[in-house]
Amino acid sequence: MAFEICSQCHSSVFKSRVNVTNDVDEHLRSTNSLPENILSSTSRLLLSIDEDLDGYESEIHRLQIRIADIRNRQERLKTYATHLHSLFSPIRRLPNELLTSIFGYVCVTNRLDVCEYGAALTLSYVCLRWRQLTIGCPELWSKMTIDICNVDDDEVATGGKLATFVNIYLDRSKSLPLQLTFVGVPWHPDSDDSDIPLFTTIARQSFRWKQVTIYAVEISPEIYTWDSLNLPILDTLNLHPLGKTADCSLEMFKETPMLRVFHSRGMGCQWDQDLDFPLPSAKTALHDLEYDPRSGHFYEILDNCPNLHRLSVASWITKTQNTTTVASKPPRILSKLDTLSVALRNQLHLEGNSEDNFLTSILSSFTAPHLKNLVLRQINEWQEPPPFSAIHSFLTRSSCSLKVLSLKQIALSDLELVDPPGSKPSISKAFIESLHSWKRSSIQTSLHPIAKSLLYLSLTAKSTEFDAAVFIDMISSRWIPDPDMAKSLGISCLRSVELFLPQETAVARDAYQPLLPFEKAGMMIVVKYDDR
Amino acid sequence: MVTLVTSDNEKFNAEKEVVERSVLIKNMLEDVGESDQPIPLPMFLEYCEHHRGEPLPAPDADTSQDDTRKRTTDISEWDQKFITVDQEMLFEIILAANYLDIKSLLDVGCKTVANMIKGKTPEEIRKLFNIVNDFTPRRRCAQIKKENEWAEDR
Repeated sequence: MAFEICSQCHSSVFKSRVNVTNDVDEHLRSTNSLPENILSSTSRLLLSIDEDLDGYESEIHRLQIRIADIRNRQERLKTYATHLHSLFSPIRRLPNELLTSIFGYVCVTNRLDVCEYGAALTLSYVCLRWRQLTIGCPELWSKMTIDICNVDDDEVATGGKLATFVNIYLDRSKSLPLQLTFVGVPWHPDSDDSDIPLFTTIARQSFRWKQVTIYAVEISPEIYTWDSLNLPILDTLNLHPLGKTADCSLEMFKETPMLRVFHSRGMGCQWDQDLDFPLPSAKTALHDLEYDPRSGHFYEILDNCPNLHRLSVASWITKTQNTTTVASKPPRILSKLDTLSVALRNQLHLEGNSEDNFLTSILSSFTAPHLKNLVLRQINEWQEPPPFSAIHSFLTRSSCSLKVLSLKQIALSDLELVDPPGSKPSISKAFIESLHSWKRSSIQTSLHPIAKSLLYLSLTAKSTEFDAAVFIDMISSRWIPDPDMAKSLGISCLRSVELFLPQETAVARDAYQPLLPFEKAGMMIVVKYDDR
Repeated sequence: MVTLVTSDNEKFNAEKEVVERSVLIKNMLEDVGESDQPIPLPMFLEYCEHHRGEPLPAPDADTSQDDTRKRTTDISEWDQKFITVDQEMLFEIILAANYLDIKSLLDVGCKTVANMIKGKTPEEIRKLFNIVNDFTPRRRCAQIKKENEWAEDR
């Protein structure tokens, strides 16, 4: 093969020995047969051409390899440039502690199911720095939501997908306390004596369980194969039914000496009836209880919790399911209670006489001398006001220094807004989430302030007839920026107002322009229109 | 009133109550005392002005256990609007809030980034923040694949 030096790149390139000429055309046009010597030279020429064609083919291959090499070099340069650009990525400027803080918010919980492997694992796959940071921070791995709805036994078996995910999290959370949420109940194999490896593994770590939440149609040791849990640090237990109600055996949570928070929403709790209290070792520690009085043993439980600070009651179980009377006579003294939250439902309220009225029954059952927060929440829409006399009687009997009265979704008249039920001079915050103007009074100027120490007011008006002028008048009457004057009047200056209005009233948004001067003067004012 | 000077020498006058939302400035003011000496710091007067009067976090507040329990990534509407900026500015705000020790603003910034990350795959996160996948092929195979063959596919 012949080569020559390229005048441009100075590298050797293939050179054909055969010159392509037009002689062949002349021979092709000839009517006579070609002489022997021409045929002979043509045969030799064809042999040379075959060699040259091979030579060209080799040259093409060589150049293709060269182009591929050049392309590779170009790609490498591009990658290098990408890496260099990445050095300017703003997120790289964050020091490790800030990045870890962000990761903390991302990994508030790690959702694990057959499709998802949790935020912490995702973060660890982004780059080497993130991987080192996440793996070096056990806290990110210590919160798991394990969803076993629609999971079959292969996935919870040893080596199964979900079991592998959970093992990674258990391993990387080191010895930190765990925050676990279980959704659904495990599917059981046919053989009765089989454990479920995933749940057996988690149960082995029960000494690390700190907060546990379970959403299930039924909770029992048999279902989860949890017959010997060791729960020395469990401090929060939330039980929620998947569906309207569910049954729960509290046997497996009997030994929980550190349990401080027990929320049982709509669960029919069962326990060894030889015990007067389902969580005997938690008696003194328990300080936050959510319970449905109608699921039974309500007052026995309260009597066994002398240190209760927070009590939330709602009747999730309808009266047809359980007819337990909720009222206690005489009222029990909850000496350490500082927050009482009562959720009201229509059907219970409409049951008729006061004996059966849920709110009346609950409030008449207690005396809470140290109550600071009272929360009344209407669960579903309803236009009738609750029996405020019961609230008044309860607060009077308790002689407490109520600081926050929170009325959520509760219907109030203008009069009740200005002089709310059970108003106490000590109230400094009021969250009144429903103002209905259906029973309007003629009061235009507030001579009887809502609460003398009121600093923040958050108000959600549901009625399209909400009167802006009355509202502005009320706000202006509470703007007393001069500390001396406020002191002499005995009324605090209102500092923050949030007003949420129905979207239909947005056309009249100019009506709130008179509030602008107050905002400029320093009052925080938010007027929003609900666009839901 | 306090005079604040930005890094490009622009001067701002602001009320002490407003700028003291920054713990750093609060401490500096305490150290400097009543002085006319300007404090050369970039400022977030708008943020501090809006949040004027809100209680500051207690300096000895336990930020470990209970704090993490209550962690949510909810951000108020005003703060969301305030922090709707390009990435460059967002991370500047986070760094400055960290430097100035304005915990509430730092939280808003961190939560915003967290919300940007949530629900994304590793590749989407890389693309979003211009992060290079710097795992060597060997490491990728040996470690990640070993620990999770399903996740690696994503």
